[in-house]
Amino acid sequence: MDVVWAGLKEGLRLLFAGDPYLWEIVLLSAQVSGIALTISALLGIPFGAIIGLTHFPGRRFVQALVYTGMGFPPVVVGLAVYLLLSRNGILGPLNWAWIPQLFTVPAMVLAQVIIATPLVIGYTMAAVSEVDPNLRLQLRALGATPRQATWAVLREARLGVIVALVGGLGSIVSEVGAVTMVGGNIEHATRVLTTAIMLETRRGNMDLAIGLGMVLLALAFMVNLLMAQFQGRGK
Amino acid sequence: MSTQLKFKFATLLVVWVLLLTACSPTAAPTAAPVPETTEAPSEAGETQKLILGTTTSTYDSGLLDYILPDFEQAYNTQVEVIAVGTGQALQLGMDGNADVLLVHARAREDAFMAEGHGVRREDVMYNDFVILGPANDPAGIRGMRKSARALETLAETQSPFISRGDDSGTHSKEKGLWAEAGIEPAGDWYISAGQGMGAVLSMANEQQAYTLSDRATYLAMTLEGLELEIMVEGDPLLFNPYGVMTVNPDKNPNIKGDLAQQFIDWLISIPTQEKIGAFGVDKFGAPLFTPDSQPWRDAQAAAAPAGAMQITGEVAQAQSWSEDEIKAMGTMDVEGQNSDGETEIYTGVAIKSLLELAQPNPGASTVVLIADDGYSVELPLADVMACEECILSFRSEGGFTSRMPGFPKNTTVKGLVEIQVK
Repeated sequence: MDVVWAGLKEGLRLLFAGDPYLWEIVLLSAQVSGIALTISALLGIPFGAIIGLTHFPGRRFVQALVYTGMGFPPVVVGLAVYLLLSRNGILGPLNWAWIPQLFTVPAMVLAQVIIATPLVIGYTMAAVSEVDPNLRLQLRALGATPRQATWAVLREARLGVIVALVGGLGSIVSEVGAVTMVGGNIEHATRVLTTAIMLETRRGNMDLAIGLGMVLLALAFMVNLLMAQFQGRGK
Repeated sequence: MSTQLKFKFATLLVVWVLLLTACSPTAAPTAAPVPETTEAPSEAGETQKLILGTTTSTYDSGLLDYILPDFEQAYNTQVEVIAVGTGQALQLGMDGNADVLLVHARAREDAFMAEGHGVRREDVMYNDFVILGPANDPAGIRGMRKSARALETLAETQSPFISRGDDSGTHSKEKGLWAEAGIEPAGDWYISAGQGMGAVLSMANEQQAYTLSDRATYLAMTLEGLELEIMVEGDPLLFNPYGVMTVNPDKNPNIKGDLAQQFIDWLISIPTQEKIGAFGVDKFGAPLFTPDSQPWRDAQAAAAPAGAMQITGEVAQAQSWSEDEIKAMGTMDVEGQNSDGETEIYTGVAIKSLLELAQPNPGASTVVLIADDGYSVELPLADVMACEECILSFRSEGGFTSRMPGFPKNTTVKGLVEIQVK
């Protein structure tokens, strides 16, 4: 019990004293997951809207794929990205400059994008299907182009879309398996909150682990608070 | 309502943008001394990156944090440490994903070299493994000399044993010990954790189980409240040598072969080896790793002339003297019986005063007198320290003999070269 109290106290101190090691990790986490979420949003929202609003052959099949992707175990994504980028893997041996190297931030971003995008697509898909289908018909009747009509539906479904983004963010910021595998948990380079907590626990630095854990909890709480705020406004 | 929502959404975006920009290495308001990141090469030209694949023991114990900054500064290099099990570290090398490897699994290192994955291998250092268990030792293995016998007992008594189970160097060693004992460990009592050393130690601590650990990680964890105790140690089978290898640069153009060579040269050099030997002494009272590179061994051999005397083991200050240095110390005469039963006067230096110079650690309990022919005898440390008349006598043909009045006859060790404290 002493360990816990001492850890909590020291964790708080590190947090508010602006401990550089701790804050570097916090900021890198925000950076990696922020970039990954932005890319996932740019890919996932339009894609989700299209699947949700249009009817095309094989739509059921694509939906099944998306749902599978939503439940994809992150470690499997990590393994796949590892094999993709390894210098002895699929893309690694090509040595093209734009292919991210293993154990770098872009590699971690790639893994997180693969984890978050199906979630954003799935939630967006569900959100736009909830909008009254007559809205789209009316807009089209009033002379809106399909693109304008889709945009209007997305605006109507914005709460669901925001939930999609928050859900995506929650899944990647708290994920540890994939970022360990493709990032390598390198100090000052690829060490994020989750991998740092693992390492410091392994090393027995409980105070630092607890401090980092509190940041992660606080982040998750803030995200949820924002989400609740939006949902409240929607009513 | 709608405008308010829009405003909210805009705020959210702004928050994100702020977060993202705040994260760029150039502007981190909260992190006062911004540490170097990959995106920010230092002002003094392009910083090179060297990827070091290593085992968790070197990293988690803090050794690499202690020695690497010297190399990083001298070569304007950022060493990116990927701390994994030995199995994965070797795989990193085989796939060309690392530049240099620091691991401990000699047989697999040799195979790695033989298969052409590496171009150079050097000895670096060693530490040893210990078998740990709960203080009440339900299986009764404490103090056993043979590690294989201890494991056999654990299997017979079905005592819970936690294995790394992660193909690491420690796991390889453990499998070797089971093989030595002729046992295929299986059953409810044998827990394969698939985790790093620290995690396994915590598990064993929680479950009051036995486990095998490297001494470095064990000592480090005891500072954090680990309550497991050493059951078996000192068996030559528990010896754990580390090697460093460069990865064959033919595997991939991104592998930095030259820098890796420089890294090895630096790691096995005398100053770095000295630093390895000093690591942990202030914290644990004993070094965690013993330097053992070829240049280091050569230097040691050159520095220690024949007939020298050394004090090793659980001491704060390991000592090594030449014969002349010992003879220059304050001598004393004591009476003793020679092998013919006649009383003789022997001249020499008090062993107690030599041990005082070495400062035995508080936990040490035993003194081992070791002769040049390999003969050794153990004595309780407290008795030796209480013995005013126990001396290292000078032999006419050179070298020393221990003269221990009041101790059994077999403690008279001719050609004594080392006093080991443990």
